[in-house]
Amino acid sequence: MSPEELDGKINSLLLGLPQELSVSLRDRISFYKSKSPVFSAAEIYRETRNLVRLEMLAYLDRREYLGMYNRRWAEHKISQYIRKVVDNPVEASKSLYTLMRVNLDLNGLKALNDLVGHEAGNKGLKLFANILNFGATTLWLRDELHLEVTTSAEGGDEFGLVISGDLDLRKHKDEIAHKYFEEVYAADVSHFIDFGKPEVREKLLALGIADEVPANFLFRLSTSVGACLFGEALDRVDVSKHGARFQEIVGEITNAMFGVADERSMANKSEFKKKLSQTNPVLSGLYARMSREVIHLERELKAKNERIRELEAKIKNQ
Amino acid sequence: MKSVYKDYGQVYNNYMSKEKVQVSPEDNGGLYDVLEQGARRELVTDKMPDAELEKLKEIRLAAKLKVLAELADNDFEMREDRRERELVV
Repeated sequence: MSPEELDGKINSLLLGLPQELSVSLRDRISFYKSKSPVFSAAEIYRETRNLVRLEMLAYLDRREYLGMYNRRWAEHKISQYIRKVVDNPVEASKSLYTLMRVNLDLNGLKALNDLVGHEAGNKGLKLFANILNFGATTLWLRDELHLEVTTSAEGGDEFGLVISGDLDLRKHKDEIAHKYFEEVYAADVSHFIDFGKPEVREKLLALGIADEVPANFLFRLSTSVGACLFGEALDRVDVSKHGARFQEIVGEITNAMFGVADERSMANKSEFKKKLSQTNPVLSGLYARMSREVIHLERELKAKNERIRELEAKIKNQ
Repeated sequence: MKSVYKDYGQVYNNYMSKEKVQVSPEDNGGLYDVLEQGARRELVTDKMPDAELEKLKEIRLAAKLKVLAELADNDFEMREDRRERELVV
């Protein structure tokens, strides 16, 4: 391998890596090169590849079975985009709406964990990760709309996407959220919980909801989606703060994108749960009542309501 | 940095005079707040039609991008990043 070939191969290995990572790797490569001919070009390339693999672990979610990046990588993708935007002032204003952060919360994970066990919970997470990584909506974004989609797992039941490309995403924001929701809700996960199994019935009994959940009930997962565009986040950040550094402002814009998307997914979650209580009250009950605190509060509320009715009846009779 | 602030203020004022948007001092609190350094203005009203608000938002965001670009030019890490990208290309 000639020195030019080595440089070309190393460049393609470092392409798109976070800047702090590629800078430190280049320093190490320079060190190896300075020891030539102790290290051959092939050995330097091999070593670089191993270093990249090792360093990239810091950007992957620890749950290997999900095969996803973590929040740090999602932040890097946003920061990379902003750097490109400021490097191209002519196109800058067009770029305000071509980057979007999407927050997706998985609903139903707690029910899986508590009623069947963590293995079932992990299956639910894996299914959700597969939908985000290779599902119909992601393929539609990548293949039909020609957008770049980066998926990330961000702890527990929270996941995210960074979507970018040449399209004005304001026109597609709602459609994207709707498609992901529909895809997750339509996924057949009925085999994850068998509500007829004695051990599941026992747990439902302990939670005080055995009467409400029939043995043949079909369980479903769902997701609450919230999105934020780059321009919306930029609008919220004070870029002209005295003494502010570029990296600091980029960090604030990134945090604003995460924050706004999160707020919106929470708002969508409560709206969805309200609707679900009408359309699928059993599932709604399962989502809500898996929290012991909620069960306790509901019992207390029920007792209080009964007491009110008793007193009202007494007053009427007097 | 000052030049960018000035640009922003100028763009905003040009827009306001061109579109003949009248702002009396009494309306000032209700229509918009002139924030620090006399240039960064935030709209705090719903008195304006949506299209006007959208135009002003675009101007505000374009100015913010200018400030951001200037910050990037003065940033050591950003220069390193550009050098890295040049190496890769």
